Amino acid sequence: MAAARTAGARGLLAVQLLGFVLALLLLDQARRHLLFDFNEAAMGDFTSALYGDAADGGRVHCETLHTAPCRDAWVRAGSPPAIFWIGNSQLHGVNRMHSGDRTAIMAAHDALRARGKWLVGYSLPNISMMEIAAVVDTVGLDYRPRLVVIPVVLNGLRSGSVRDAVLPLLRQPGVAERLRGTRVERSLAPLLHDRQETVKATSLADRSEDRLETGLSRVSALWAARPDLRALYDYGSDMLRHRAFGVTAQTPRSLINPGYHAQMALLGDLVGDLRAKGIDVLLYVPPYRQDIAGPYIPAEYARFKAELTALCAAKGARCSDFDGLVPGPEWGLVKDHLFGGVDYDFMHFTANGHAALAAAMVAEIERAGP
Amino acid sequence: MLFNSLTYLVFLAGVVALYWQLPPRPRLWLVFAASCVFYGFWRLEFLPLLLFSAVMDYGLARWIDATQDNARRKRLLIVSIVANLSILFFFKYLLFFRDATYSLAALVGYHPGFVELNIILPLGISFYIFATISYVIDVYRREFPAERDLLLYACFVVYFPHLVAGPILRARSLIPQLKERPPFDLALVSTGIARIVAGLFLKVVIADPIGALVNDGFARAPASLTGIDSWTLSFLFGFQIYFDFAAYSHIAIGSALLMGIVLPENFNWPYIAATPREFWRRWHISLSTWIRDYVYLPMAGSYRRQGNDAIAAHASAPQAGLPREQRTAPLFATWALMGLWHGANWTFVVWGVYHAAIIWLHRQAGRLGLTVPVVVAWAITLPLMMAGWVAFRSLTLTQTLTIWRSMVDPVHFRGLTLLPAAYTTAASTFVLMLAAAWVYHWLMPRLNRDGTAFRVLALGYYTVGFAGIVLFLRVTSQFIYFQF
Repeated sequence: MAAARTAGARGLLAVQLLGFVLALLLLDQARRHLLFDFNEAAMGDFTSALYGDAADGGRVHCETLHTAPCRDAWVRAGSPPAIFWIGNSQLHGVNRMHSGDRTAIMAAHDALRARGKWLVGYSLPNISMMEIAAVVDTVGLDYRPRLVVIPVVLNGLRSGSVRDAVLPLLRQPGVAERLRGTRVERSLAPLLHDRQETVKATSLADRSEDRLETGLSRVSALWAARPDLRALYDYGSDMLRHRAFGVTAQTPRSLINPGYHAQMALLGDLVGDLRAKGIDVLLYVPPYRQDIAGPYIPAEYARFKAELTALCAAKGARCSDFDGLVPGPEWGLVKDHLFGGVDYDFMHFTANGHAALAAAMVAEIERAGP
Repeated sequence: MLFNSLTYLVFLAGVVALYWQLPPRPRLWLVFAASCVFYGFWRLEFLPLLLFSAVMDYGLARWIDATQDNARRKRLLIVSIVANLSILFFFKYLLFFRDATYSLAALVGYHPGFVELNIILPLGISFYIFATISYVIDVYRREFPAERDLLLYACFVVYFPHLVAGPILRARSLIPQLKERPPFDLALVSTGIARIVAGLFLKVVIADPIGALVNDGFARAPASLTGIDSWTLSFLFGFQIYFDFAAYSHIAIGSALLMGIVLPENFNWPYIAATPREFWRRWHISLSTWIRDYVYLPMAGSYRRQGNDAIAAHASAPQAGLPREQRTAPLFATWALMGLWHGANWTFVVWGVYHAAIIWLHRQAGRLGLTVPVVVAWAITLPLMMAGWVAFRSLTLTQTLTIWRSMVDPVHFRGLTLLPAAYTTAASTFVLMLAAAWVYHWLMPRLNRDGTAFRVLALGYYTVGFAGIVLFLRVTSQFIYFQF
């Protein structure tokens, strides 16, 4: 009986060991043959992320979570009157980028700098309205801006979340006090404090984990590749889901009314709070590819534009519609790197598109006259 | 130290290797020292509180055991319970009751000054306080003799596999195992590894990614959620908390098995339960039985009933002291306390009362003689249990009520506003869970354990399991029950 039990245990241990070895071999094969540049996948084929400096030096377009370079440049310039532009990856994605290309933010900064104005821009992929509110109320107000520029992306109004990466911005000292009594506070209040405070980042466990992780990454290429393999897994899951349900970039995505109204209300609150502080606000409908059918349903898109115009009128903001600004050939494609095939990109365009957006924005800002 | 970390795996390997080399007494010292290191990795300054609680109850239990005067024994028991609950109250509930008092005062127009307090909740406090309370009560009831060996008793309290999130152990289930020197058993070791693999896989591959979707959903304005969103979120969180907590229990049990120690099971496929009563026999079993033995039965007038049923089973207990119709109040009070045990927030109280109401309704249906096929009963029970998690996960009562309203209001059912992955993950997890239940309960018993089919199935399972663990093992979040 005991011998049979021990033999069974030995058999199980052998299977466990073999499973472990097979798992390592499988992951290593995936590392060698399936990995690719995920920035490309996220931004569309041939589209690259560009954050950069003004023509006369100094960072003026920053990633939302890396705020210091832009702020330092503004302080070095003597903290001039600022215009704060915040949006999604359309602002930093440049399709078929060439050396010397500039984003709309960088080009608009150069044009306005000559007129004594300092435009600074921040962008984050798929930024939600809650995240915009969070960034404006934390990073944006540090510039004491005269004008805040916000693209209102219809597709972006589907999401009302704040990602973990943005939360540290909200939990900076003084942010809760700054938001107290504002209209956006009720949306962001649950995020201002961490409910789970029992584990602290400075514990011995964190330091030990860091050392083990670093050590293993140094000696094992497979271990070092884990973040990329995890991204591959996520990407594959998304692509598989799209394939299974026949979802493409042109699949119509109808408005979700409760979510849409909540995000528009939050936008209204944000504009109201900024106007109460004496800050001008410019809301704009961003460029949207017009030569082929896109994911927006025309009637809903028209209703959205009308409601945005009404919001601007009610809250005392300026409104602009740039949706037809960038012609079809200036837009990019998205490639499925795992299963093959390409799809249209309705969000990112070339440097020519950025130049057109910059010119339109500068003209609009001049009319706003902050 | 978190189970889902490299640090723990290295620590466990070292402790287990040393454990089997040592004779009995040094082995106990090793368990004690390793447990202190395990706890100290989080915050060293809370270790004295843990040891104080252990030593206090060691002394009081011995005093109770040696005293023949019943009135005096009772007084000593009260001293122990009050002292333990005071510790728990200070660290876990002081801020909650302060805020509740201020709110009540504000209702009558009085606005007292606000004192800023920053109280950090010691890890696992609810678990080790409950373990020591049960020990003293068992000694008082003469169901277990007071342990004379302080080191042995301290090892029972601080034993690292169960220290921070259970299972909540009774002294009678652990102290005898620690006292005896268990022989090395390869079968326990291989089972222990299997349990750890299962636990890590559930945590890092399933629960943590689901957690990201849950966090996203609950961070949204609750009014923006449609009925389908709310049901999806409730199922997602139901899956997350189950896989997260079951994962912890698997790793705890597996870690103990590597040392030849068998801990009681804490979960038994709760989502296949066909009644609320059955659910609570399958979910967090150690807490359910603890609350039953030390709260509900004394309230209902009898603590002597034995058995493994959860609280719900005792509503119709023939030997309970109170008449059947008078057991409703203890049922609701117990469940409110059960909710409050989980956290200092009204949402947890609502969660507890919700379950009391479900159990009460189920009891009434039983008395009326209403019976339905098992599959129908399961199809009713599962959504009810999942809906309850909304209160557990919400930050405020308003959020709870808004989400609950959208779950039952037909007007709110149009549209999907969560991330696309939320729906597919909820659906695929549901299907996979049912498939796993089928494999475990139907297929596995029919396979010859020494046969090729079983080995191939096991090899596939371990290959996928280890691949998932190697890929996803990282500390992205603590276990949910660490906050309790």
